[in-house]
Amino acid sequence: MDWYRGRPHHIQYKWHEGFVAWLFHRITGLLLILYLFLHQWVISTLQNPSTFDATMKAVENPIFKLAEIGLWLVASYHAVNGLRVILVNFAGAAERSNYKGNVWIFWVVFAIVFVAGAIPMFMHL
Amino acid sequence: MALNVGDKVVFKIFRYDPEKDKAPYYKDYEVTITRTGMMVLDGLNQIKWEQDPTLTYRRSCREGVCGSDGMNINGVNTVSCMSHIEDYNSNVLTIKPLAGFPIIKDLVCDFEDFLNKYYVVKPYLIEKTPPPGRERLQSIEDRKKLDGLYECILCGCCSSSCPSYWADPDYLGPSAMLNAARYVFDTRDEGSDERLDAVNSVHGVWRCHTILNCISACPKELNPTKAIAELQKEILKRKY
Repeated sequence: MDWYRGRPHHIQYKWHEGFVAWLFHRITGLLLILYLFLHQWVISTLQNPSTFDATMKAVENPIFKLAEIGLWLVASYHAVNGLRVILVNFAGAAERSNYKGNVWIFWVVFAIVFVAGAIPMFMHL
Repeated sequence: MALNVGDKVVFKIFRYDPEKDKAPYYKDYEVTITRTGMMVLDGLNQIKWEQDPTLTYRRSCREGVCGSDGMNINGVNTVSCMSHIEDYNSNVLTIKPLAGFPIIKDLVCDFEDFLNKYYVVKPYLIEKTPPPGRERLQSIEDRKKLDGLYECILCGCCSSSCPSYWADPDYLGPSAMLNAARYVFDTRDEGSDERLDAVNSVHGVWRCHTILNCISACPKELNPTKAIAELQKEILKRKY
């Protein structure tokens, strides 16, 4: 009786759309928390003139701007999928007939939102 | 993939006897298709009756009513008596006990924790007014509200498929909450407040992350995610 719940060998489940959407939602949520701390730290270096210039120089670097597009990827996914979760809870977006299709619809919406936001960001790289 | 009489399908079955084995292992059995439309349970019976009587699993009615034979077949929870072998389109079926439940032996899991959570939501009619002369009547429309809720057979497939249920040992699980909804939305019932209090917690309706595994798992084609969402709405309605 020592093989209790939570043992990894015991927990393998077939992937499907809702499962994957939730996993990305959790990962992007954790990344957003990490970003929040990094953001606070960057702002804290802007407090005096000597570190201000050094920080602003780093922020103008194209690599940093690419990272900003990554942030947009993470934030837009979390926002669009969060909207889907609200619709599941309050607007019946999880009927048996549509629960998988709805995830695909939201992935398409996410792709459109992300690309629409990323194009101007790429142009200012 | 159409299976013909005489074809062979390999059942790769999770075996674990805590009194003998140090760790679980998988054992392969060859099942012969003896007629069209064979269920996975028929294959298990063939193994137990003709090849290896030590194989242990629960079964009773063999027609999807008793809910005894919930198990994980090729990665998806279902009851073996309602799954056609040929629907899996595979020559190998991997059969495991329900995830997140303690294992007693082979495919037999301990349902005590699962059923204790079921009792938390008080799954019976609560009456506060004295009964009328003959019986508590219900209109056809009100009865229809219970369709998709009352059919639950407590096989454990939904709760066992839920990552939130694996991660949080105190989470009531989709099954208990579907059964809470079955009484909350029953017009004859007068105990909704105490039931909603029981599910209104971080280990109740608010732990559902809408992963939707319970919908894909339910062999009775019910919708626990929707039932939990309806309970959330009902709780909000009562509060505001």
